[in-house]
Amino acid sequence: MANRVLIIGCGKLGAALANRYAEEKYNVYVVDEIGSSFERLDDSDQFSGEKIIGDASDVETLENKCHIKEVDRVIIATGDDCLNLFLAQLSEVRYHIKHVYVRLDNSDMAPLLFGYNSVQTIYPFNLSVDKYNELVGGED
Amino acid sequence: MARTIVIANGTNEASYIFDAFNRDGNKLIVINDNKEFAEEFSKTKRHDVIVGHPWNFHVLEKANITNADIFIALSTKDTNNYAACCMAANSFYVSRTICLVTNPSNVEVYKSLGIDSVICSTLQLVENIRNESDINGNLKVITIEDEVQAFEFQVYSNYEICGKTIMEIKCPPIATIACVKRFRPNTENGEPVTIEMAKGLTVLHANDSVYCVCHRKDVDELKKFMTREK
Repeated sequence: MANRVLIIGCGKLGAALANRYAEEKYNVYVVDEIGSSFERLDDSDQFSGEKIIGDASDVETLENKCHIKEVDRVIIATGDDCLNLFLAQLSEVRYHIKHVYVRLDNSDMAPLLFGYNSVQTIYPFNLSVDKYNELVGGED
Repeated sequence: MARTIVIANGTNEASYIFDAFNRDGNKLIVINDNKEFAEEFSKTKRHDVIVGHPWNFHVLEKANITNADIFIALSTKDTNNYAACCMAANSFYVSRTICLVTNPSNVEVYKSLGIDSVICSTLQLVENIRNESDINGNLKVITIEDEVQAFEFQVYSNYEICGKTIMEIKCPPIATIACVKRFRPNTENGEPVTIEMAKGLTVLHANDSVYCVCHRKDVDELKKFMTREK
């Protein structure tokens, strides 16, 4: 099971992390509903991971096509906060995955992940604000 | 008892639920992210609609749903309903969440993640078809909750159990006989139907309707036992 990572959503974030893990010789599974999303991967034809076209909101797809029971790390990076929230909770509760990383645009959803110890959340908006504050602070 | 019921998204079903519960002092809160529907609804029902996504904290805050009794999520997308129910229960302390889904496999999954009730019209259709076919065979199965089923059948004179007490028929331990509905056209109080709670000495007569409760997996075995012919 070691070094197997499932990346859900092959947007800019998902593709960048899929490339990184592929370079590091992880077994990478990347899923997206839209096949053309995989064009974001570096040299898509040569990408060493497995590209899966499917609906990640469907448990049967996750189990039968996306290898979710075999991975120890999941990165949830779709552009849909509701789906991301569901997948994060599901990954911990149903599949007991040790490392779950989820991107959420809306930080109001944060309390819904309290108590999910395997889940770590990435808020792009908050990161941007933090970076801005850091840059502005540097002006002084 | 008057309750506070939140109807989140949906179109025709939202209107129907609104009409069904807009009485008995219930307080109804309607949230919808379709602005045109919200305007039309407000006009025809003369009831305010909060416009916005029902999985958005600020929309639910504006709708003032804290401590509501029931939250019904009726969006067309399952995960939107899931997130809305999570938000309602966790951030606004709604007592009971009901989530509509289109994917049947989400019923068990969402319940396992904490949603109180998950309703799938496809599954209900299957259940209805199954019940319909049972009625033709003198049997009716009603799902009470997930795996628990109520099982109704009519006693025919050629059944082994006819004329025997419940104690005598030795019902297998997979089921409980709950009650017996009996037609008595000549009873003293003029009541043609009586419901008798099942006890050991209750005798099962021809034309009685018998109600049992059992696990879904045991329905077929129970059917065989109860309808065995003499």
